[in-house]
Amino acid sequence: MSQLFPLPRVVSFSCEGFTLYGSLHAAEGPSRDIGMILFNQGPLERAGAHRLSIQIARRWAKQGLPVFRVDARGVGDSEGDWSVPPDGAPIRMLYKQVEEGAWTADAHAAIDCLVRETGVRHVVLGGLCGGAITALHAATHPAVCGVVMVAMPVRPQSEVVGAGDLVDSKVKEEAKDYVAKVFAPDAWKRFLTMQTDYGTLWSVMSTRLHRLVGGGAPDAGMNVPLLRSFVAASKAKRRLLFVYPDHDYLWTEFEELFQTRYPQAECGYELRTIANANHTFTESDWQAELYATLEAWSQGLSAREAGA
Amino acid sequence: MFERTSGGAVREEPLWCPAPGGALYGMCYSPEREGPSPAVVIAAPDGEERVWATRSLVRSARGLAAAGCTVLRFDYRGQGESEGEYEKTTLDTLVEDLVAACGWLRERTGRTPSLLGVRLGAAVGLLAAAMAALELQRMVLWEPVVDTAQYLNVLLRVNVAMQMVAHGRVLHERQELIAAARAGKPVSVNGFNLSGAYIDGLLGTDLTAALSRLAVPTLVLAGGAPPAPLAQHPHVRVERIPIVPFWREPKVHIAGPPAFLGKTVEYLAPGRQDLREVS
Repeated sequence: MSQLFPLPRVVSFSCEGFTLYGSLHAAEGPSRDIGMILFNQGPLERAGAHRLSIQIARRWAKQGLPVFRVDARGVGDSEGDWSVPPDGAPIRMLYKQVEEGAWTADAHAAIDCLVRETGVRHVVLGGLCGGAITALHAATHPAVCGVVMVAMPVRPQSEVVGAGDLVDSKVKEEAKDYVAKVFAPDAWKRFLTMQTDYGTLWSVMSTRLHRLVGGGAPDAGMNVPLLRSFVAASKAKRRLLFVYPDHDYLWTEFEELFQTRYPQAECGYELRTIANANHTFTESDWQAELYATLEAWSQGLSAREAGA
Repeated sequence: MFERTSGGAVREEPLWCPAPGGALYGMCYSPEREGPSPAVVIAAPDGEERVWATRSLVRSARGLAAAGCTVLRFDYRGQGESEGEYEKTTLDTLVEDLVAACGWLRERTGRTPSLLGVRLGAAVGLLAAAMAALELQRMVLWEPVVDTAQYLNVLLRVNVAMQMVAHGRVLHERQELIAAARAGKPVSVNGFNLSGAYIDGLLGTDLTAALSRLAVPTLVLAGGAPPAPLAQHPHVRVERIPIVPFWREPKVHIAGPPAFLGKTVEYLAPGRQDLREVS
């Protein structure tokens, strides 16, 4: 059987006494003195959701960039586990810890490991969702020259529980969809045959009405530790790329909460959107556009760093 | 925030296992203490269920190794770290990969392995054992999928639900999706592309027939009533244990291994019930 991609090398390294594992894709062709690291998308193993991280790593490796995909502690093959009571803890509380930088030490250890293993001097960090958060928090490491953040939440997702927590534009959009269905016979059929999600319907419409009569949107708190990491990375002139699937609610929050506070023109970050895509890029054409976007960006990054 | 894995007398060795469809990634867990130890291969669920189950299976592998077993946990081709692309997955390739993994562990340990099959991995184990492609000491099946057509139906429902979210309506019903897959356009289930061959395999497999040829002593652990063909089989013992479905996206994080592990250790490593808590 023909082997299309070289196998990555499984590398273990230590962080605060925990053994962590990663897969290192060797750069194909001449090295460009830059390495890439991809972090876990929340509790998912280092391959990523339906192996997105592997697909991205293969493409970057072909561009001459070694890529290290790592499992932080408590995920995939790595050691350690979250300290939770015997009967468990809400998963959102674990997400909150990641949002506040629980994996930063692991990320720094991974950077040191990549530098040691490959000899590169510059490192770009990246990830999707929780992986993007870990990447941004870890950008204080002196070897980091850039951060790629795909579908990164800018609010603590533990605080987004129901319609009442959604940003205003999303509530308006959802309510508008329901109103449009008033004239759709199929929608009435679903409503009368108990196929409608009545809880969501009530929650969206009551939230909309409440806000219309002056209740106002709640003070949508941003992830403050993440904002600090963003400002620090921006001041340190790290090259920052945000990529959002535009059918992801996290994009709405980014537009409404983050961009208004940190305009692109003033802060110097780059921003791309993938049309129609959902949070985990489940369709092949969305994936292809994501890969092309990241390849184009890293091509430019290499040229810039090589000239530095 | 994090705890060290307790009962840590376990060696872990990442490996690449040769297989007909390319190298399979695996992790071999073995007890630190020397001496003969039962060999166990873990056949994971498939696709999205495998992704969510991975960490629980890592904990289970560590638990079995701490109780004295040598355990191989591996990724099917096109999944996890293994070579290949998921789109080429069929029931036959899953069986082929399981046979390769069992062969690797048999060669490593010199012992006929037992199997821990989880969800569709249980069905794959049953098929492999029935085809006599696989010699096994014992089997433990966790929440086994026996009705593969019904399992497929649930997967296709995920695609239909995604259409509703993305487009506000259903563009392609299940039968249309199946027809499209047969014509070469795979069906995405949370990003895992199901081919026509895989779909036909799931629709056409008769596990009841496979069960009629089952001669391996088997323990079935399930949260609810186990499927009748298993419950009535002379070589099968069934136990019901309440379980958090660790193969689905969790709302609650449980630190310990799945509730099925204790009985599994008793069955696969008799006399080694000194299972220490490995999280």
